[in-house]
Amino acid sequence: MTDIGREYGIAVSDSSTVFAYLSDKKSPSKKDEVNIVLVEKVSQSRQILATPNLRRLIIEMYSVFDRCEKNSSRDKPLDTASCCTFSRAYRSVLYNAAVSHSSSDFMTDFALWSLYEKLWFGRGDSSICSDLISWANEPFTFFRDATERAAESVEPNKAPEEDFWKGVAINLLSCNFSDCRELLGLLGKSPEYDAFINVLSSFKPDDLSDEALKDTVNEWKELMQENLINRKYGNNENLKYLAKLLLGEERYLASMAPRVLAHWWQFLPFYVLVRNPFAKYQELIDLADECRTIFVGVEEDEGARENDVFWCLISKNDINFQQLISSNPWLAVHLVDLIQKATLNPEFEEMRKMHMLDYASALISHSPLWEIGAGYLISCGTEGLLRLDAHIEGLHIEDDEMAEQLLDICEDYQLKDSKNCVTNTMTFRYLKQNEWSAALAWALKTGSKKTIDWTVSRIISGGSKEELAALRVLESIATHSVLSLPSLTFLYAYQHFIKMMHNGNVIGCVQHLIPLIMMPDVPTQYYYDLFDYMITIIKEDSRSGIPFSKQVLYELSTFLSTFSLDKEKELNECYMKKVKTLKKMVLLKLADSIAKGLPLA
Amino acid sequence: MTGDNTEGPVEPYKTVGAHRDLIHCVSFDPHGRRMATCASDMTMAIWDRQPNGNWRRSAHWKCHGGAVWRVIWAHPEFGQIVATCSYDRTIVVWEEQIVRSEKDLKSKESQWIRRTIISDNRSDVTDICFSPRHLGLMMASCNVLGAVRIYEAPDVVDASRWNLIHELQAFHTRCGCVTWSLSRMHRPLIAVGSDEKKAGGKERVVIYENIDGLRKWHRIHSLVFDLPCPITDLKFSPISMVDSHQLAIASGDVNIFNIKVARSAILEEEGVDNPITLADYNVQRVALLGDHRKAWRIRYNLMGSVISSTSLDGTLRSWKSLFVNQWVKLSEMNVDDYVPSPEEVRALVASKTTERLPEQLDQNYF
Repeated sequence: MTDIGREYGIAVSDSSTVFAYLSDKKSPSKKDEVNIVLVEKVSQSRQILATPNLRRLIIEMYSVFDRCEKNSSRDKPLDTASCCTFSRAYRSVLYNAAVSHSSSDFMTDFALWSLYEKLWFGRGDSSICSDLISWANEPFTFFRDATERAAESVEPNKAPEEDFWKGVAINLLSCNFSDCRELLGLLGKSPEYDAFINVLSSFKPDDLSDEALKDTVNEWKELMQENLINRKYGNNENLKYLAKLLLGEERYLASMAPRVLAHWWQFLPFYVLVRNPFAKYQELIDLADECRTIFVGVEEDEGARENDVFWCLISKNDINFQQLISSNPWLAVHLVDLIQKATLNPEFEEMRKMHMLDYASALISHSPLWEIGAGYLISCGTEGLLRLDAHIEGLHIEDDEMAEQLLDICEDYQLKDSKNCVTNTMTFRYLKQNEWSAALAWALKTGSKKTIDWTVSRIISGGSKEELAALRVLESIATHSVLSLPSLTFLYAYQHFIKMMHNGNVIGCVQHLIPLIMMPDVPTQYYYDLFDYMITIIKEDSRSGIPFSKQVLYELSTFLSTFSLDKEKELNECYMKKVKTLKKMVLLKLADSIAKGLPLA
Repeated sequence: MTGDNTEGPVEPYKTVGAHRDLIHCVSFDPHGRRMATCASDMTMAIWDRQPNGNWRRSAHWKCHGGAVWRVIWAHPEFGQIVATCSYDRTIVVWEEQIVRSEKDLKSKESQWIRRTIISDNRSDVTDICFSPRHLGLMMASCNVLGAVRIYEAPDVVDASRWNLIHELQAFHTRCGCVTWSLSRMHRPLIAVGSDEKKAGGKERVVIYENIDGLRKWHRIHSLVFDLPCPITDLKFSPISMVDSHQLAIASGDVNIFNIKVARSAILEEEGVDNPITLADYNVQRVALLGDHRKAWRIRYNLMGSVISSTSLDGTLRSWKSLFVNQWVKLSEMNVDDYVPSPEEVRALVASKTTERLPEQLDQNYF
């Protein structure tokens, strides 16, 4: 162990790890020298999700997933037509991503999904070979570059160069016979080329889907064979080579395919076409095995076959296939989900949940995409909701809009604890910012008596009279008649009183103040202010001539007597002095009222 | 995961910044978007993640009169609150306050306000830990005299008032680490570990159970952990089973224990009968994750499915839980993977340390 590398602190979150370590041992004696450094290791998910272009892919994939989720049922498998529709929608997103990113990885994903769709989602009303040829026409975009290069290399009155024949071979092995014909047509009129182009033109992929037309397909091969025997390709060795490829001669196939194609599965459609165009599924596995061996060679690394995702797909090795695609969430999550929806296979159900929970967790940890993450978790049943509950506690709530969205989710799915977390976070946040109206509005959303009481008490003790008078949220509460909590009733009455005081409505103030003082559950700290107001009003009584009924004064004096007895131990000297002063004033006022013979009520 | 990146790859390793002496604790806030560090230079720093992913030091100040051992974040529900503990025998609670800028009244800037100093410990405070959110704003601390002290802020919006509500004598030797259980289903537990080298194997971890609605903590004598090395860290898994907690303990290697709870510890809803038949607490070691007997700090991920440990040999090891009680090593990252050269470090750090110096900041924060 070296001291230089030793770490002294570490923080681990779901998306990154930060180390503190001693970077340079020489410098501790020098105070100004920095020697303890923090380094962050960003998780792979965070690195990938930080790219805006990839976020687009994630959003588009989710949009398809959401539609698929809404159109499927837990008890009934998705019908073939719907399954193919959703599969095409997913593939389209992958294809757009591949094209806009110029990404070979996405194109491979697209090829893999397309092949799965052709083999397992389709109706099965066309032959496997025909499906493979139509599959090859979609993701095999590499032949376009090869075609362009080949076309550019053609010069009049000059023998075609290597690039040209390479382009022709790529097009041929990708089953793209139309481009192959066009390229050969560029070389001008000659009986050899015409003969070859004619044979290619006579091939009709649709014939492959009808076993009754088996002879027609064989005629095409026979014609090629005949041409070779009758030396119709003259001395053109390149054409002879291409013809032997089309006739499926193994030596030629093994030599050419690895030279011009990158992967064995790109060679599979052509191989099936030339070896057994009417192969059934069981024969396809054998053909794929042969094709792979021809392309890769007999000697390969141990486990290479198990790690070959296309081989696992074709050979229906589901366990390996799922493991191999698991590192690629947008493929694994959505493909496995669609397979599960199409088959209702319990094994896929487990895998679906596992992939989706992990993917959703990664998305939700990456804040801008939390809604999408939540959407995936919701579709994972109880386990997903439990995880969502845990995630919401760890989410940074940016603003009210996000808080409202979270609250809706919590209410819809009865996530009680998360709801408390969201509403409490917002209530405390606004209380700390002295934004009383917003704080009270969020406290009311908690639905918890304790939190509402506590918030009201904070507002009453922290807010100025002007701020309390401006509490708009109380007006809406009153109109909805939900003043069921004593603390809220008090706050409402208090606000009403403050408003009247601001408006100079002294008589109204008096009428409100005494009931306010005698309300049940008035926060103790409030009496002090209320008593102050009462003292001022009684003092001013001689000038303003406010009428006090004997009954009210009697009730108030009784209340004050009880109050001073109850709170004697709680209240300080100053407070008690104020209570005594008020009590005395009320009693004097009562005596005065009696002397003047004022009415009882 | 695939995907070509047209905007340039995100660098997997980034230099965040630096302190002038040993950094003892680095701690992410629960959202992972802020970070606090504390060091032997008596200072702490707050780092904010910028939208571009880089870290910016937003505050740095002298916070204690001795080496600062730990800095921890309270749950953001209670606001931006951090607490630090130090060799100077104190715990300090800090809160961020957003104020209007003096220069420009429209813009807002943050200030870290010292809310309180808790100085009733009679010795070096070695670790602190906030309670889980559902218990309110509480904090447990432990010190070199073997005591665990539990504090509570009775008003969660006022971080300046903390009452000492319990003091427990866990050991008669050093306490090095303390942690709370996180389950809402069970009575809360506090686990305390001793990093005293001379302590006996069965005297290194003590668990307390809360009874009587936070009014009383009692030691669970039936839970005995036989551990070979001093305890450098311990953590409860964030996810617990109906009948058990999971506790990870760094004692040389990382030991994973299942603590079966007593029947009485399950908080039942009214009118719901508990079908589980349990008598008393008992403990079972379910996994031993080899860390070359040098495990230092341990962390669970949010879902409790991954546990990471850092070792004194400068290696970060992670294990993933596949099935119940089965753990597989996920990754191992050695110091050589992430240490840039001293020259690179100086160049990177120089660009990040042009902020106000701690001495200047003292005037603002104290």
